[in-house]
Amino acid sequence: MPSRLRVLLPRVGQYLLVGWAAATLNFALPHLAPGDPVDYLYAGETLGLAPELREQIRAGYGLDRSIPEQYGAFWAGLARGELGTSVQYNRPVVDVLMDHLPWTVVLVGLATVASFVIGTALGAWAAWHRGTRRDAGAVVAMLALGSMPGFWIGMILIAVFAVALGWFPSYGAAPPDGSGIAWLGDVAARMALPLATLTLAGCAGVFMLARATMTTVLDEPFVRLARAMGLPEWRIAIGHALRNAVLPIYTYLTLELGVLLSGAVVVESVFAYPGLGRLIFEAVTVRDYPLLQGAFLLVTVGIIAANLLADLTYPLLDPRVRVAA
Amino acid sequence: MRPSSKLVPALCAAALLIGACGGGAAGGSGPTATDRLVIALPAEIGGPLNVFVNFTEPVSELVYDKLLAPSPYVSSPQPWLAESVTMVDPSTWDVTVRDGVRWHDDVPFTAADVAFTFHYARAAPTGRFTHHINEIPDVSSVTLLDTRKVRFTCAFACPDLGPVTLADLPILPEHVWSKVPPKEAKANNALPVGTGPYRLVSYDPTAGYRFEANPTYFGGTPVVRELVMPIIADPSATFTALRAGQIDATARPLSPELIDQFSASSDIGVVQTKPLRFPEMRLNYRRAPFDQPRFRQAISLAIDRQDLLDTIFLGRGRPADKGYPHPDSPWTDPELSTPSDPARAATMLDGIGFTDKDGDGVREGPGGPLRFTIKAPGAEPVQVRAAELVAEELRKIGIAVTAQGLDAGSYAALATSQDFDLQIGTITAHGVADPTQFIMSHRSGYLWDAPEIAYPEFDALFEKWKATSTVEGRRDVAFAMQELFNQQPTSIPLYYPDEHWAYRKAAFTAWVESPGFGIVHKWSLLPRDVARQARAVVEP
Amino acid sequence: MRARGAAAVGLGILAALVVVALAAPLLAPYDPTVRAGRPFAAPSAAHLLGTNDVGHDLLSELIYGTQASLLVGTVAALAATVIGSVVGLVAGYVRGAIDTVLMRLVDVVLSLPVLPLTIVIGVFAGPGLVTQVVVIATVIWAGVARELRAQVLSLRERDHIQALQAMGARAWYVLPRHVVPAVAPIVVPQFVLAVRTAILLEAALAFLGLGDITAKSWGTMLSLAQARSAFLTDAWLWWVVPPGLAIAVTVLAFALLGFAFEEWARPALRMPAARPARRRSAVMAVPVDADAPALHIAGLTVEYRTDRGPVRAVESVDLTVARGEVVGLVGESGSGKSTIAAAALGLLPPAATITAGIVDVAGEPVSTMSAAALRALRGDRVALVPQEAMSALDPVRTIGSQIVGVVTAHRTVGRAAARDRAAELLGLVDLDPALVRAYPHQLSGGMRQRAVIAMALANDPALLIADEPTSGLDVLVQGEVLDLLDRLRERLGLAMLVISHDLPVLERIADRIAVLQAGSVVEIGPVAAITYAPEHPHTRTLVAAVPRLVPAS
Repeated sequence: MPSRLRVLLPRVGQYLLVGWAAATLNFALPHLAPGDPVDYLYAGETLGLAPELREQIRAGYGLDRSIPEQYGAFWAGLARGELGTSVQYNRPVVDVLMDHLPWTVVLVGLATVASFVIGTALGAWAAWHRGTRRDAGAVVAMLALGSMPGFWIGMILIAVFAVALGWFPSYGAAPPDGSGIAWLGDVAARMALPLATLTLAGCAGVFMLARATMTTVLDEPFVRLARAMGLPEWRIAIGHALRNAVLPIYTYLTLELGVLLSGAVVVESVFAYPGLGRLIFEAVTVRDYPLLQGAFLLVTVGIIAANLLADLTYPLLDPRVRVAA
Repeated sequence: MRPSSKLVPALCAAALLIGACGGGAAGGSGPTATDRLVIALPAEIGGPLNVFVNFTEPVSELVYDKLLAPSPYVSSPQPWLAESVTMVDPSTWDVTVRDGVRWHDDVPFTAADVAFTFHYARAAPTGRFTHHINEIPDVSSVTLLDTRKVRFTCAFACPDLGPVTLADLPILPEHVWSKVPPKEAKANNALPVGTGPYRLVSYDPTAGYRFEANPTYFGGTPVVRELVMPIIADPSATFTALRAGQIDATARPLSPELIDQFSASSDIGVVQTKPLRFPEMRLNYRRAPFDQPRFRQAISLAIDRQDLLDTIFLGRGRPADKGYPHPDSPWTDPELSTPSDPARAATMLDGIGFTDKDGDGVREGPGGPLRFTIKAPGAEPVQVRAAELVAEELRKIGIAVTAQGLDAGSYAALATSQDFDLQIGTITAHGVADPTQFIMSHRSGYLWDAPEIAYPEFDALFEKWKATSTVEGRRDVAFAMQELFNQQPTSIPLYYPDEHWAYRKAAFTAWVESPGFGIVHKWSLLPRDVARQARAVVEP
Repeated sequence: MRARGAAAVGLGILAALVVVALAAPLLAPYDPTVRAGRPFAAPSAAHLLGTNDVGHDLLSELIYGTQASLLVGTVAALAATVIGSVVGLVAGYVRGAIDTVLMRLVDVVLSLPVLPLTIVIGVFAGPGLVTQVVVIATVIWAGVARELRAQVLSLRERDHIQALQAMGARAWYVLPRHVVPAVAPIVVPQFVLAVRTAILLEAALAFLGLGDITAKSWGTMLSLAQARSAFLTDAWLWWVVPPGLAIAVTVLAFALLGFAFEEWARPALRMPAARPARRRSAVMAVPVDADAPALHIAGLTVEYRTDRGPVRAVESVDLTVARGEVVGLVGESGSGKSTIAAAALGLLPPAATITAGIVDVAGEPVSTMSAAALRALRGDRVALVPQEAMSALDPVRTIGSQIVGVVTAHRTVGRAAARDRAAELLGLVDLDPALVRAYPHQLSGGMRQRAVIAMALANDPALLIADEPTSGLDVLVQGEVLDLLDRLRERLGLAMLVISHDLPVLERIADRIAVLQAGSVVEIGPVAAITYAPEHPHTRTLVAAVPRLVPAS
């Protein structure tokens, strides 16, 4: 155990340092942009907000303090478990984040799993048939798919499946009311198109990686030996080759997962899906500092957690890196 | 309210006539009452309808009522929560509240609620209502005469308290809001308690609002039992959902490029209304040379208004040659004229010393060449296009203008920083159809607030306005102010758009226009005779 | 998919795009900033793609958009690649504190959100293409740095770099002369990937309204199309599809180039998959002939198809291994040893054909059997003991599970029975049966070789083919393994074909030795004869080349 800790602690320490630096930068960046949330909220009042009133409102949100003070207040609040109140939504930041987080996690999580499964299966298949026209076809198709902008794919899916065919709804994550199975069904229907978009956009990259790693693995001596020992082809492909090829793909995906938390913003915009990406985007344009700080913290924690998850679970897949029991 | 001249009924008729030209109602076969409607809202409206956070009238008024209905944007609002509203003298108004009205939680509504609301609005930190009570008009006291009567006293003559303020302020329940300290008014996130035709029964930040009809509404039972309102921020997503049948109507007007297609569709009905809002271009009057009245006039003359309307809004509306504020408002001078005359603009510029000495196509003045930027919200392509077009037209008379799209936060910051030469924005009904607002805007900085620049003509008119004690007298002075303003405007309307509203015929067809509110508002959802009684709607 | 084809297509598309970008003023029918027609006009003779929301010609916008997209894409990618490569190189080579600091910086940059970054930079640089370039470059460089560092780390361990360092060469000497040229092949695909990311990112930022809305780029076109409801009308066909396709085609061109480059840079990828060619004939399996020799090769000639024409790897080879006999096959590299072994296993690559002769294993005609029958034969009647057992064992599965795999492939037994058999086999090769649960990396070289032998013995094969069974092992361990093979041969009556380039190994274990030279058996005979009385000149050379320990006097 102590040896494990000795390896783990510096790593964790570095991650924390990175997390702190990222959190600080994330705090500073929006403040560098002009405007503040009060401006935005009252922009409709072009008739003018009296300066004293404006100051009063700003003070109510803690915006009248200097930036270092706000920074300190942020960490102090964090220590108490508070993240402040969102200016735009007029609700605690924690509540706003918790409204949007599950939708993102489910959508992005499912999309990652789907890309993983489809991309790896197709990539392994293409590697198996490398040099044939099937492989060439798959590569061209996947390269083409990966070249399309994600939002473009989404918009075309809407045009075809939501408008022309009417099979799926085109906006939102859940109906405003309802419960039980009907609600779940509606949620699933609304998630279908954004999920398809994210998966299509993501599986091309996984495919190319899977194809490359599978190709490398297929040339490994143990695959040759397994063939020499008369194992059936499917057993070699899945039990030996794929099992090894999965390792780099797994690393790639767990690292991508952290980024995807906030990176699905274009798809969320196209589908009016209430995810974290869109939330952050709107918060940035509106300069909703408290919400932004909370959201960035969440994303940073997510990325770090994903990295840690990758580090900790990888040994489950690859016995070579396991610390001797 | 005592009608005291022929002008008012004439204006009412005119308003109705103007509305008639547009045909502001839906029709045809289809249900005029139904169980449930799904209506998409175009933007986040700040949570569970806390009026101190955000007052999006059409939605908030489902839950709340005002003393007079429907709004200040008609010339004679009718008593609504009030039974009668009387001007005792130019600085004093008496209001008798209606009897037998109950709040959603079954507590009786009394005049005490009215008094409380005014006092509370004064104390709570908000921009929307405060100026209506503290500035113009300046309500110095609100006293309870008995359980059904309230007296308002103003610091100076306030003949427009009735038609404006009392038709603008929603009445809040004392038994609920007295428990909330005014400083924390914004933080109150409980579901609202009002007197209105609908109760907000659930609000979810990601899924939207759900209202249920208040069957004992004093104005009549609503014809739709349940309203579900999700928020769909993207116009494309909104109209896709409408076309696909997932929503029944939308509180967002139809984009001009879709009007033809949706009108031709057999499932979708389209209502045309005359909105009381328009896109405008503001000039930074504190910056040279925009501080010169004749320079501003030249710019106003240089804009090709017909071209703007045809290109940006596909001709769906009227060119903005009747100045600021909106010509359909009963409080706007019908004689205003802001023509387009680029030749005269060029001559005028020559006359005040801005000529192109070095022949590069750009005029120079004492401060150097006339190079400016026009800023527009980057997320609103229509406004960016307007900026580009205006830039084109100004370049023709030798003023080099570049269009710039800003992100929402930076754009909003312009309100405080005032760091712009020219700016494209939108002004709403509250800004242009509210008679006292025009004057307020000259004191708040929106249209004017530059003590360092002499503006004696306006100052004189303002004193005259304050001294006048009748509604008509005030209106005449206001007209004179408008004349003055439009000759050297600090805000130039770009066009008066017509709005078109789309709805699914199979779901509900009793949609009707209420001036300034489009078709999604409580008057469409109440029995038609009730709405007519309140004179709240415009019908063909 | 041929790398050359991909590269050609990619370059072709790219060249066309560059031409379009440079010749835009000549190609575009109108100036895209001029309102040339009615707004929202459908395609017509005057406007092939119609007009946009204010009347600009869409085709002209599309053509001019090439400039913006290519410019932003390549400049941003170039900047990102240069910066990222330098950082990655320095971090990977110098290591230590600098490495840690740089990599933590990379981590921080990678966790920065793109959107606020765009807005802030946009404020300072003004909305415009410059902002796009700066933002995109800032986002991409960190990933490049990380990749480069990983490559440099593995390069550092290469022998020649280590030798240079041992000689005291400084970093600033080694880096440009040795590391950079080796790393260059990795930088190119990173650049290509960066261009792809840059172009897609520009489109996404424009779509979100964070681009320069007055610039004429494909992303802005899409953003405006979506904002002006193009999807709800037919306009999507001429307003949404063309710019989307343009982006896709541009990115695809770079993707093809990157793909071609990677295929070219990895020789292993050039050869088609080494799967045995499928043979249609469903020949019935010939019953096992107990008297037949373990291996009987007569007149075997194998030709390989190569770019330079057919090459004879093996010429008229006769070789027989009787039951219980150990025959050694010795020869230099390229003499055809591996080909003979592959032929005996029925594992010749598709490029090879047996043009003459037969190969019989335990009486079965391997050279003409169906694929299914061959698979049944391999691992059952004939088994391979490969060289370099470390790579020959699947690193993520236990020894036991791999042996079990071989057993269950040929015998219908329960898992428990198979596991017992695996433990039994390990005992047979003098390994602790508890090692069934061990992973290959946990065993020493010698133990791994034993494990591989155990795997080969799983189904009591008639013939064991040992391909360089002792390469990579210490001398003492070599001896142990060879002794083991000897004992097993005696105990189990195994016939073995031992292939080696190392004559002493064969001298120790074989009964007879066959000498291969350039595909032909030049001499074959008992060990003693070959060792002490070689006849063929090549044999003599081989024998003489073996260093013998001789007393000093």
